[in-house]
Amino acid sequence: MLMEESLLIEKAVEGDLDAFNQLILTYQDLAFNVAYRIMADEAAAADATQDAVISMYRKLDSYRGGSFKAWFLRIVTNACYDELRRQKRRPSIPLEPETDEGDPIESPEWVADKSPGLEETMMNAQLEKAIQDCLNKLNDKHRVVMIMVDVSGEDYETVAEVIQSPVGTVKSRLSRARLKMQECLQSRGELLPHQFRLNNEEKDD
Amino acid sequence: MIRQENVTSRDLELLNVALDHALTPQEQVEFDQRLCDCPYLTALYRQQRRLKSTMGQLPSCKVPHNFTLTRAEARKAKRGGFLQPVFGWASAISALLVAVIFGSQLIFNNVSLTAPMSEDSAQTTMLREGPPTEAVPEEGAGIKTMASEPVYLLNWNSGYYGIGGKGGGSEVYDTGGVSINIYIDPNALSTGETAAMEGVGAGEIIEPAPTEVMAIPEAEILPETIPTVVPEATTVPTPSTRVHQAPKIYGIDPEKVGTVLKETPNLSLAQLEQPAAEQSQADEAVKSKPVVPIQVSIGLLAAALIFGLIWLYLKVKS
Repeated sequence: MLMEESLLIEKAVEGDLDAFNQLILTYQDLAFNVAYRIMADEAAAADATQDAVISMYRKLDSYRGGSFKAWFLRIVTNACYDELRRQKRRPSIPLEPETDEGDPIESPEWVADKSPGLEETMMNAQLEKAIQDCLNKLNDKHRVVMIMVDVSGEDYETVAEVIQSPVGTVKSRLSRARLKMQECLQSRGELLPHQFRLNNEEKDD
Repeated sequence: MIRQENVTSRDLELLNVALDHALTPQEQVEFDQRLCDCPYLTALYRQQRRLKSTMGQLPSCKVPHNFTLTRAEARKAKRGGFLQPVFGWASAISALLVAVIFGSQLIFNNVSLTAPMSEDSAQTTMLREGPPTEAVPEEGAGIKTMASEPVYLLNWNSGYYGIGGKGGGSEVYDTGGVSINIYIDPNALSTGETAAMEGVGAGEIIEPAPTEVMAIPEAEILPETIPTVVPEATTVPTPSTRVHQAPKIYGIDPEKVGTVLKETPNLSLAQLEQPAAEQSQADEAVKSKPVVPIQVSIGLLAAALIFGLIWLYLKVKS
């Protein structure tokens, strides 16, 4: 696999578009999901990932070896940061349905799946939404580390290469991010499904 | 109620490493011991494990489409990637050139302002201000005292010997409003003839060139001070072996005391001031003239701005 990847990288650097596309296909799921967790929006994540791919193709000459996955993720996270900065400069209003009082309906009824297992699906959706909200409250540096380690399951070395910092920095950021995440989820514990409440010791293994 | 007392930063560090299953055997022993000792740490560890497990179970999103590039997209990407740095560098170089041009002009202007005036431009000396002072003969000085009224001394007599030594010009002594040029024939001195000067009016006045004189008001003439201008040092010792000939004695014609000799004919007073004024204007023109034409500077500045804007546009667009 690594031999094949290094061969593809070599060809891509020489200008072989097919080899480059092959590499993109290998890592696009991971890159898109990291972008999606950072951006919390599918369309924005897709834009950021596409921007990152174009940027990678331009910068292929500057690729100096190392983990291609880490390089790809670094460019994706940078694209996400750029997109987030753009969004902060030009905030957009989401097209969500509103109640009679003007409050947005976060989980409109017409979106809900009417198929069997509805309760479980709703609970999972609530949990995911709570986690994503808490992730969004973290600062960018903590969020990226937590997404890559706890959501994507990357190791410390890869994350350190992505954020271009020592492994110790990754550990310390991860520690703070987890504590903040826990505080955030506990603060909204009543909104979470019972079995997912973090302070519910009976459910612990 | 679980308390967070006794939980150290080391405990939190071990907790995080334990969550990622990266503890060494030694650390594992240490962490297990801490879990036994601290119920809060145990609870925290359970909660964090649950959190990590929950986050790991978050559903992954399916990519909306492949992010591969087509040939056209790849060409466009390369082209955009080429143009942007070109404009960026062009803008930076233009801005640098503008900075160098303006900086050099600033430096040159400052240097020329502080530079001393050339001695060549001081051929016409003007004495304008200051009260009459005592005549203080000084070796090598062109002007000894300042007159109370403007007196123009035209004493540039190249080739003549002035009193007090050889030089490019004659020695001038100001006697409080009257300036006198005294000439000694160099040929006579070089042949060893005695050139004794015994006092004002004792010899014969020989004017070396036809000159035009400018009259000085009589009230400003102080003839009694004139003898002080003849130093004894000008007497040349006569070797005893030489044949004594009748010396040529140069002195001051008392009838012409109070006149100023001028060797530049056909020039009025206004014309005499003109060279200095022209020189000053020429100096000013040289100082104010930019090293690089201003059009070039403006062009470079405009280029820097335009290239910079294009670079910014391409950056935002990309």
